[in-house]
Amino acid sequence: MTTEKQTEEQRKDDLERLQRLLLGDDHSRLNLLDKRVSDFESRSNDVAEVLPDAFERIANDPVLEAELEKPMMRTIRASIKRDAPAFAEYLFPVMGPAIRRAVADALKSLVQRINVAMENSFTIKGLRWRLEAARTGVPFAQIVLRHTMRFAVQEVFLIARDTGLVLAHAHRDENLVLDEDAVAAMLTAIQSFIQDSLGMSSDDPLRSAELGNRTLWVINGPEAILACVISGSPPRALRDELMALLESIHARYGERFTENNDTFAKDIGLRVLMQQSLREELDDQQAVSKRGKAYIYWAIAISLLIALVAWKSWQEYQQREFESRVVELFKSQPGYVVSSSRRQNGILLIDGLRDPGTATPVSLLNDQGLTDQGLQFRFKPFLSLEPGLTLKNLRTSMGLTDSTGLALNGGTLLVDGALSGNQAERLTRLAGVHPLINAVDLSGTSLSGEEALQLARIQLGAPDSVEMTPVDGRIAVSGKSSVSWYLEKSGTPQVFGGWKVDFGPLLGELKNAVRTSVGQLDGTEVFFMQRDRLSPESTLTLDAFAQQLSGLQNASTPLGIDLTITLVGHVDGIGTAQQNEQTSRKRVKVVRDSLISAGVDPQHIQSEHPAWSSGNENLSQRRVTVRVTGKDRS
Amino acid sequence: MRTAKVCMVGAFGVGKTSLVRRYIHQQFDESYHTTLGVKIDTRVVDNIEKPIKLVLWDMEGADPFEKDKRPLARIRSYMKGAHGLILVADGTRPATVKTALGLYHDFCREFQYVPAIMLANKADLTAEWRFDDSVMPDALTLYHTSALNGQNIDAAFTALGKALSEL
Repeated sequence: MTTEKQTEEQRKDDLERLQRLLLGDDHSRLNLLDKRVSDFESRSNDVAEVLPDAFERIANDPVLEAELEKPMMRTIRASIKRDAPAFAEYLFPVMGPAIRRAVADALKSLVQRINVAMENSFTIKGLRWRLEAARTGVPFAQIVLRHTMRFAVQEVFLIARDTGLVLAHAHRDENLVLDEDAVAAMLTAIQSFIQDSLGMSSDDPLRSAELGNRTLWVINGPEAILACVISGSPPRALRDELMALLESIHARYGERFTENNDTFAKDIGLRVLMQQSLREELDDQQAVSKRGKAYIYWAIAISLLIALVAWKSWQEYQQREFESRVVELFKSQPGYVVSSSRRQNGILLIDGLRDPGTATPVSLLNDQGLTDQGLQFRFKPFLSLEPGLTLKNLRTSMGLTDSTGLALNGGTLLVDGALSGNQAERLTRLAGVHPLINAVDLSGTSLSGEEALQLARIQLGAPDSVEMTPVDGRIAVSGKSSVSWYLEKSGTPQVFGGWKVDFGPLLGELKNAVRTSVGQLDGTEVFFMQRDRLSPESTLTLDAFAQQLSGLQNASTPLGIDLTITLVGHVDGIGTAQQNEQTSRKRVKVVRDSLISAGVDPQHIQSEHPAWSSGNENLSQRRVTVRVTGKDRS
Repeated sequence: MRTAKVCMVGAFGVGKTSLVRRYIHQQFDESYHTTLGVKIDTRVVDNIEKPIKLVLWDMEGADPFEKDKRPLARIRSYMKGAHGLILVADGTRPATVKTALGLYHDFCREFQYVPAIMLANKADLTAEWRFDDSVMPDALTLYHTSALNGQNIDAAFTALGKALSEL
């Protein structure tokens, strides 16, 4: 064993000497390197030294980045699976801000779309866009945004170069009509067709095509192409960006292009890259100028609207004013009663009553300078009691001329001026018949004597026993009448057509009649039996006498004749003076009471008790003598 | 779901477009035929184990034996990358069978072998039928079809879809 060990050491020494001879100084450097590699700490330091540079290189190299992504993703997934709560805790501080930012970005985009849509909603172009939205079924905001974009990549197809099949697809517009595979294949066919038709090789691919405001850019890669549908005017730099994107897709996913399944198309990384290709840039200047123009359009539109509203309001106000004026006119017009007024189908219907004696509605309106256009009247006839209209109607119905004046004072119709025919008589008949006329005063009129006489007789209701005679411009009334008639008619001055009625002659005759009656009643005897017991005859006649006397007194007093009634009591002369005086007084009292009870005024009744002669018994003296005298009141 | 590019080729007037019209809801106007020489439609074959979406390139009529090679060149460029082929011939015109087979061989020379079927169309015209089944290469599955009554059309497309889905 010792010999073997020694041999081994000898061999090592020999080898080292040989290495020194062959390598010289490099031998010691190799030893150092060996030691450095074998030493864990030294090796860790070396890796740490180069790691930052290595990561930077990875970041700049898509292929390395893609290669590194796979193990890193696996590691991260495994770690999350193993300890999900810990990851949630780590992510918590960044999730809030991230979500807020995402929401803010989404809202910003939404607000931008709303703003642009609002700003363009009332321009002529906006209306055109609205029509486009209706025609295509694309939301209006999206149409507006599309037009106000400097450019926007609307749709991107990642197409396998050889098969023409869609590898991935991203788009803004949700309303795709056609199958994406069919569209991509057709694009490929078109490209082939152009190459073939123009005799170009497949190395000279179609790069762009323009249709309307859309541009088709074909970004060609070795295995796949990006077909981008762009609205607006895309800048040159966009092509470079898209090219870089396609290169990145090739680098990451080139090997998977042949997979031809959904898994590849749904790869999150690929989808993110495809979404990134949907670039857009808003044309700020256009949007700003649109905004300015939109304000002008808005201002014009609002002004027009205000003007229209003001004009309509003014028209309405004018119409209302006119209608109000018309209604007020008829309401204030005598002989018109407006019960209702309402507008119907643009016509003002006025319902009410109208006295036929009034002017027609149209002539009334014309007098006020108004037209009856847009008005319809439904007045029913009625008799108005308006004094003015009543007089007017009377004038018409009576055939009175302008020389005859009519007026109403209280319930009295005052007539003056000339009357003819039976006008006076007809007018007087209105009293008590017409609702407004209780009396007719014709004192202001001028009539012939005959007319005045006729009118006076009717007006005064004179009995046939009364005579009326025109004498010297007055009508003398004479003959016989009741005192009451005389008193009633003569109480107020009566004038007919300028003829004053003179009741003087009638009064004289009435007084004479009173005096005659006084003479007839004076000296009437009322006989008694024993003491104050009336005789049978007087019992029968006393009441009638009392009534007569009372009537006479009532008639004479207003005629200015004051009656004095003196009751003289007589006795038969038997008995004592005291007894006889008592008897006399009792008998006078019986008569007096009877007269008073019949209505004779006691103030005008006097009593006398003449002296009696004792011993001269005369039973016929048992009486009361009634003396009646009349005296004109001065 | 997988997607496969299927090219439908054949001589003029064999009924390619009628077959497509019978099978597919069309995406594009048929006037594309006269402008581009091809019209593209899609249909999902979902009555098989692994449903597949066929992107059907309906080519204009072409003849590999004609002097004017431009249509053929265009068809070749369209056929590039095809996953499957549908050859269509008119069963009443033997010459069209020759044309279809010529196009098939042309494709195989230019590209690679892909699943392919031969549709002997107008099978409803039995009195005039002159199709010789024996000339069919083993690689082609033959279907007697009629665009008029729909005979075998679904079966043919389904079979091709199945073959493509299993690749």
